Amino acid sequence: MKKYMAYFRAMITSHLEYRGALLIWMLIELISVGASVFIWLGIFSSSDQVGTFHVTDIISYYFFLPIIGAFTSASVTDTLPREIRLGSISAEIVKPYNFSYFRLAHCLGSKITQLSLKIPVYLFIGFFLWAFIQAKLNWAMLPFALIFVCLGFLMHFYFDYGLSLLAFWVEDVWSFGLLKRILLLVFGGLAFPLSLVPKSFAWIFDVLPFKFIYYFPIAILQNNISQKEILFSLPQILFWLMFFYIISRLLWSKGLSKYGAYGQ
Amino acid sequence: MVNNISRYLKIWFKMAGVSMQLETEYRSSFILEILVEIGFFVVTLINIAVIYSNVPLVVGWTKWEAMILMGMYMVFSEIVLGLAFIFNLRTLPDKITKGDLDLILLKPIDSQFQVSLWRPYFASFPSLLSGIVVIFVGFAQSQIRFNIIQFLTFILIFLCGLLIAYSLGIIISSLVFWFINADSLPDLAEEVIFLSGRPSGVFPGFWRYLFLLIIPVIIMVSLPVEVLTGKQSVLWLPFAVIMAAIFLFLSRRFWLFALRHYSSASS
Repeated sequence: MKKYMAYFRAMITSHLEYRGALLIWMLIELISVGASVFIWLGIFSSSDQVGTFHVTDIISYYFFLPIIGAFTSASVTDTLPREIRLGSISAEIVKPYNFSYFRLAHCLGSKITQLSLKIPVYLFIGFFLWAFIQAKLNWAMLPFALIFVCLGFLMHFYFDYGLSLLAFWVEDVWSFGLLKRILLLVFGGLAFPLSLVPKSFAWIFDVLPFKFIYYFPIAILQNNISQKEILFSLPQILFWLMFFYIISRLLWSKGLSKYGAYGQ
Repeated sequence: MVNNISRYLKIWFKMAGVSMQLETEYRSSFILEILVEIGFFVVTLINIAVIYSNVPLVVGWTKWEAMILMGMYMVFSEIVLGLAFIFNLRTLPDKITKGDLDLILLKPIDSQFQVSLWRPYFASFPSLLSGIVVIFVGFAQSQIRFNIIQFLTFILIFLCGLLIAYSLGIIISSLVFWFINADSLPDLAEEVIFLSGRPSGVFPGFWRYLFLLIIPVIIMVSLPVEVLTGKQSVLWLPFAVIMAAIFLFLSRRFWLFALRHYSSASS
C-alpha cells in the first residue's frame, strides 16, 4: 500500500504543475454544460414540464452533472493507449507492483488535484443557484449517492482501463476516448437525463452500466430514485464492477504476452 | 494575388493527397475513426428524438426544422474540424513546446497557413455526408421551400460563418504562445464553435448579443439556416460579411502579434 500512496502523492504534485491546463478544461466543461442549460431553458420557455422534469430539476441536474463527473471520471484512455503503442510502459511492467493498482493511484492523484480546483468554483456557482438546487436536494440520500459515486468511479476506471488495454491489438489509440464519450453521452446521461427516454427504449439504458457514472448518483440526490430501486441497483453495479475488473485482468495478461518493445 | 491563391491551392491539394495516403495506411484505424464519426451522428439523432418525444416545439423549431439545423451543424463542424483543427490547430501547442515551429517559420510559405490548413482530415467525410442526408430528410418532412435568393444568401452567410469559426480557432489557439502547458486551448476553441449548433432563440437577452457580436457563433449555423427556412430576412447578409471581415482581420493581426512572442524551444 505504501508504494501506491507514494505514487498517489507524486501524481498530485505533478498535476498541480498543470493548473492552467486544468482551468482550461474546467472552462470547456462549463461551456459544454452551459450550452445544454441554454437548450433546456429554451425547451422550458414553451412548456412548464418535460416528462417528470420542471425547470428547477433540469438546472439542478446540470449543476450536479460536472460535480458528479469530477468524482466518477476516469481518464486512462487519455494516456495509457499511447504509452502501450510507444512502448513506454516497459519501464513500469518490470516494477514489483500490480499495474492496475498503479494506474488507479495515478488516476486518484490527478482526481484530487482536479477536485481541489473545481470544488471552489462549483461552490461559488452553487451559491447563486441554491434556490434551484435545494428544491429537489434530499440530504438523507447523500450517503447512498456517495456509495454509488465511489462504486461508479471504480467501475468507470476498470472500464476505461480495459478499453485502453485494447491498444495491445489496435493501432488507433485516440479513438478509444471518443468511443467512450459517445457511450457516456447517450447512455450515461450527459446529453439528457435518462428519465426522459421513451418507455419502450428505457430498458436498454437501464440494463447498461453507464448510467452509474453520471445519471444515477444525480437521480439519487434529486430524490428521483426510491430506496428500493437503490437496493436493487447495488448488485447491478457490483456485477458490472466485477465484470470490468475480470475483463481488464484478462486483457492485461493476454496483451502482455503479445507485447514487445525495443529500445533502452 | 491570384497567383498566390493558386499557389496555395496547389500546395493544399498536394498535402490533401499525402494526408489521404497517411490516413488509409492503417485501414483498421481509418475504419475505427469513421465508426466514431458515425457514433456522433447517431448521438445527434437520439438527442433530437428524446427531446421531441417530450415536447412538440423548441423555441419555435419543429422536430424536422431542428433536423435541418443539426444536419447543417454537422456539415459545418466537420468542415471546420476536418480542415483547420484535427491535424492542424490541435497540434499547435505541441509544435511550440517541441520547437517544431522553427521549421515552419523557415519555409517560404505563410506560417498561419501551415499551422491551420496544412493537412486535412478525411475520416470526417462520412459525417459530413450524414449531415447532408439529415438536411434532406428535414426538408422533405417539414415541407419547407426556399427561393434562389434565400439559397444564395444562405450559402454566403454559411461561408462567412466558416471564416468566423476559423478566425476564432486561430485567436484562441494562438494564446498558447503565452500559456505554458495549455495544450487544451484548441479544444476550448472547438467547444466555443460547438455552441453554433444551438438555435439562436435559446440565447436570451445579454447572451444573444454576446453570441452575435463578441463571439458570433449565431452567425455560423443558426443564422444561415434561419434565412433558408424563412425565419430571418436575407438582409442579415451584409452584417455577416462585415463580421467575417472583422474576425479574419483580427485573427491575422493576432497571429502575427502572437508570433512575436515565440521563443524557440528547439536545440
